[in-house]
Amino acid sequence: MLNMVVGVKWVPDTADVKFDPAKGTLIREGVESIINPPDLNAIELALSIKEKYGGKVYVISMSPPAALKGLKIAIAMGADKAILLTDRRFAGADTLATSYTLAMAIRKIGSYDIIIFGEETIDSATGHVGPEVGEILGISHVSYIKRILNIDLTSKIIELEREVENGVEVYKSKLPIVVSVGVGVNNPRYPIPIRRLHAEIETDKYIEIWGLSNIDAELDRIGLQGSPTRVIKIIAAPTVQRRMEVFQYSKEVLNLMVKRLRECEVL
Amino acid sequence: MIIQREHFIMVPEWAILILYISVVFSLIFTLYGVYRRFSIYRIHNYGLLLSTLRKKTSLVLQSELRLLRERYGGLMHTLIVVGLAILAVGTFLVFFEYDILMRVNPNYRILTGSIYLVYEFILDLAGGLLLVGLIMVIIRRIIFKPNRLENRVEDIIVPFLLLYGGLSGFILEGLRIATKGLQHTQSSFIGYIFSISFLNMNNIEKIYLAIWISHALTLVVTLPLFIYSKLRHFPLFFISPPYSVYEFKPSFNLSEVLKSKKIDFKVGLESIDALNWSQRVNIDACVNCGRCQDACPAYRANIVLSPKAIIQKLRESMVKGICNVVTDLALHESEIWACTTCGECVITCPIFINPLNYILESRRYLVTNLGKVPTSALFNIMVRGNPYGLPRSDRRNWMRDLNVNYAKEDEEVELILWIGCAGAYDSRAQKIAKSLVLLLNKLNVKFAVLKEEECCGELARRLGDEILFQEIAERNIETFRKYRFKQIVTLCPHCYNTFRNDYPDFNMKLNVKSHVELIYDLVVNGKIRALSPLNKIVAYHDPCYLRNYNEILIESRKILKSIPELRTVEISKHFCCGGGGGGNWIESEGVRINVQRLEDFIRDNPDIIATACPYCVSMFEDALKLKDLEGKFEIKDLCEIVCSGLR
Amino acid sequence: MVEFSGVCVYIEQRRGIIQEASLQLLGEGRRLADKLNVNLMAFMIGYDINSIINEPIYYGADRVVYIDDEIYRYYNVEVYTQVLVELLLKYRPEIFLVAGTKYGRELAPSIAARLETGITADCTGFDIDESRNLVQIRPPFGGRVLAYIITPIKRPQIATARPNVFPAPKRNIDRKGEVICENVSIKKPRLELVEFKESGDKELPIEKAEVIIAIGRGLSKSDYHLAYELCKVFSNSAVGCSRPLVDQGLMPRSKQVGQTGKTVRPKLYIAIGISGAVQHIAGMKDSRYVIAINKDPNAEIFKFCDFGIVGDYKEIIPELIKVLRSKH
Repeated sequence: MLNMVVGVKWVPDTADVKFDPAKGTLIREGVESIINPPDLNAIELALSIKEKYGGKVYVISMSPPAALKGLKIAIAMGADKAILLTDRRFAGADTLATSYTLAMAIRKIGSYDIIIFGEETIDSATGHVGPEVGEILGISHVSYIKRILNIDLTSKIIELEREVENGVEVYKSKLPIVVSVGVGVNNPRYPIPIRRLHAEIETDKYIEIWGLSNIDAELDRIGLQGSPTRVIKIIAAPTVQRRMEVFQYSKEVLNLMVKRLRECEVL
Repeated sequence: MIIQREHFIMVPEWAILILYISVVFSLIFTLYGVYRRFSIYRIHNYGLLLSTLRKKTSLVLQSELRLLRERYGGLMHTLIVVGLAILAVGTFLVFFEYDILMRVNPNYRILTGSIYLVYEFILDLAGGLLLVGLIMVIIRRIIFKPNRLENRVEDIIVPFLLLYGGLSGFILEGLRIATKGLQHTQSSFIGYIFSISFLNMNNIEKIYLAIWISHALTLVVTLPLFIYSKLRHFPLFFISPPYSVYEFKPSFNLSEVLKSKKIDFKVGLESIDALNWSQRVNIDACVNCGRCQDACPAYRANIVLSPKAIIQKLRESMVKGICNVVTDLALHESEIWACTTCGECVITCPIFINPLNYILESRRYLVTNLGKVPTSALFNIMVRGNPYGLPRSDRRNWMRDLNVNYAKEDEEVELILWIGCAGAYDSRAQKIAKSLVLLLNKLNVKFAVLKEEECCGELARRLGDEILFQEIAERNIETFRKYRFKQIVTLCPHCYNTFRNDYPDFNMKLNVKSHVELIYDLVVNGKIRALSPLNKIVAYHDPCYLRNYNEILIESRKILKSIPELRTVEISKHFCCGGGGGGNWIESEGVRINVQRLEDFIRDNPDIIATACPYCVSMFEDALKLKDLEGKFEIKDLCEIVCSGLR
Repeated sequence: MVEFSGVCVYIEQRRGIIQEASLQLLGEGRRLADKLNVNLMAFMIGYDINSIINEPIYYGADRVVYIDDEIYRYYNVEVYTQVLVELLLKYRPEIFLVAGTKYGRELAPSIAARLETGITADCTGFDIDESRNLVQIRPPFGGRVLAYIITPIKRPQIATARPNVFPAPKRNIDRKGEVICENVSIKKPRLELVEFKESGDKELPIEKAEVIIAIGRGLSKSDYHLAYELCKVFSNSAVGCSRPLVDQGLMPRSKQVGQTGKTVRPKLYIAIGISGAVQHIAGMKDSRYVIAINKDPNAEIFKFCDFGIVGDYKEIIPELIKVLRSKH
């Protein structure tokens, strides 16, 4: 029996988020949120481990209450239980404060063997939370893993594989461990519709809502005050002005193209 | 000499007795079969049974016409049906005269004088038709052997038995004529031909008796075959409801479930127990004729799926009492997902069986209960409101440079244009959407689009997620209720069918028109006229969801006819492009349905393959790429052709 | 307590070869150090790295602190974190920069969590504000915006930087600096590297390529070889693709350019049969020069290219290969 905890973020669908250059803010109104895509791969990994080795899958998310919708999807995929960490005092957290809060909540769950995160979120794309949670809990962590090779249930030793730029690494560690996975390492299963309906109707049975009072966290390490970093401004990313010379194909056009490539020192 | 029917001539009393006894046994055996069958069917609503009987009787002709779509097989069946029907009536008349009238008074007779001569003529003719039909059956079974037919034991026994029955009847008649002399041969004209060879025969009485007994026994055996063999399709035809493509209905109402907070329903065809009695009767009526298989695009391409096999497998497990449909019975997942839901099998079946419904119900079971679906399209719909998984905000990209207004909640609008996911996201279909808008602008037709537009739910329903479908439907219906409009026009036949045939189940009756109907109206009322000539050969491919689901075929052709100089070619047989029922999103192994369909068209070498569905267009465009024929043929939506002809 | 001072760059080496991205950071580190008027330091960890310990100095560092021991032969996040935390506590730089390789992006947050300090990931620009804070500029939300982030109180200020954004400084072997060999004692790690399989002669990953030939749905499956042939004309080139090809299983995910795939910034990006959906543009918009080939003159991609050719790729590519071969 393995206890798995999957961290899930309910993120605005960044593809729909537009930037208001006048106000210098992101326009989030009317933008639907989604489960951070690699987190689906994390859930899938947890479920496949559960299928092979047995165990329980918890999903945890530090998000506003609207994230309930996402947690129901996680339940529908097959997670046993979901915990929504929501409290105004959690707001404004950077990756360190988020990781601390998540780590304290995971500690509260009690026994955990494998903690799985998506390797990064589509909105902030830091990839920090996995390693930071691992360090805060004082357990092993490996990012960018590709697959689990073996788990020895008696000695509680896990063997896993990950890919780096110049090769493949195989690691071994005693449980518990934190791992993070990316999009494409597996195919997340479709959330079982009837289970989603069950989660909708009997939400309390599947999803617990925790606030600050439910976890043992130090106040100065959560939320904005627990965050060492500050965002001071946001600007629209400058776009490269393209030349946009478009021609109907002819052989001369290719010569012109080579000329342009020379002019721009590309060739 | 009196011309009348002579009963049981040359047959001794004991033989007649044997006949009566065996008829009684045969009847008991048949009734026992009926009882057994009915316990398999679990019929409980006899009122419905009666109304079905009325409805189906009126469909006999239509059924026969469906059979006649295939000349040989249809003719063969008609000959046998007519022959058998007349012989049955004739035999009944004999029974009525001999066993009822003549028991009352030996002089009461019907089959006498010229009536008898006409009777003899008609019966001889009927026997002849039957024999020709049966010989056609045997020739087809043994010599032509079309692919779709398997020769099971009953497929051989039944025609030979009937053939023997018919032949022996004529032999007996011939022997009678030969013994009694050549009287009124003008009416028993076939019997006469047989009699010629018997004229100088010895021992005629003994031979006659032997053949008479075998003939009588043939009939005795044939009766129970109408319940024990595939001949049961004849009685079952009349009591099984005629299923159409619209049979696929919601099995629960989501908003009611959410209100009552009770999930006490089953979704999909998990086990044979989920079949109701009328479906059971319907399935049992299948004779394995395979017309549906010939019509199935997935079968034609890869033989993974045969609607016939689906029904036969269901039938077998129903009879054997095997329970779990998808696992035990081996309705294989690959079969279930190979279906394009084109509905061709449904509209082809001469006895109105609906294989599609069971495929879709199996999908419902697999997806709704187990989440097993071989494409991410459903997840994309759930998360981003379109099967492509593209951002919600991209839905407006197609209309960036166009003059398109959003409907306002406080203003009534004549016409709402519903573009659908393909028109909004697929780069090829975006062009169709643009053409339609240009066309409407040029003709000064006022319209608006809905800013809330998202997926119509069609794909969710056909892929088996009824819950997602109903969530989407409820959302869209709420949107529709916010606005006031006279009609809604769809660019995509799939949206069209969903609005027209599925949304009414959720109390939303829309005045929905497909863009084909809209353009047709504009042609008819003269708004579209004086189109520029187009000197091209155009072959039209019917989108299944217009043709098979909504019977829109004539309109498209009339639109094409309204274009000067344009010549059309008709492709004889309709097949799906492969894009329906999720086909656009499910990778298939082997031969692609769209490539095969394209090949149907390029044989006639048209300049343009026209259609009226964004899925069809994209399937054909893909097929052109796969066949390396890009640029050789144009794939166009009707509205693109019309739009470019507007001056 | 000693004040935090100085800029430090972690120099990542694998098997005795310093990662290009680390050298690039030395240039940026130098600039920041000069602005703050402090020293630039470099940390290096490895085994048998004597031959390369002077390299950071050649690229602009004032001081190199290194640790050389058998146990550091291979990277292990747990071991390296311990070592770097020790070094950071001892040398107390105010800024610690790490190249955003996979190792760096795993290592840096581990260190930050141990030191309970701030960290910013994947920076594409740095600056120093009036309070001598490091301004860390990074592109969240799929690169649509740039966020300016500071770590006002906690030190060191840790950041990872996106590879290939900053130019590597010129190597100058006449530069002199201090080289310190350190030794720290570490706890036995729970995590153990069992095996490292170095990938052999594999194709160049697209994020490293200088020239990318990107193919999309407009290309027939049977014509992918054309893209590979064109690719061979250039050195340091790779074939990439748009998302539909990956979704259809025609290309591996590692080759996908775009929001859900990889972000690339090659010198030359040639898009063939790509319509130009926004999520694709997001992944390639920082390319230096973009060529688009598409048969549809209205394709979106033409709005995001420097040079566009409307026509049939089957004609264009072979001709293009000829022209490039003759003039290259």
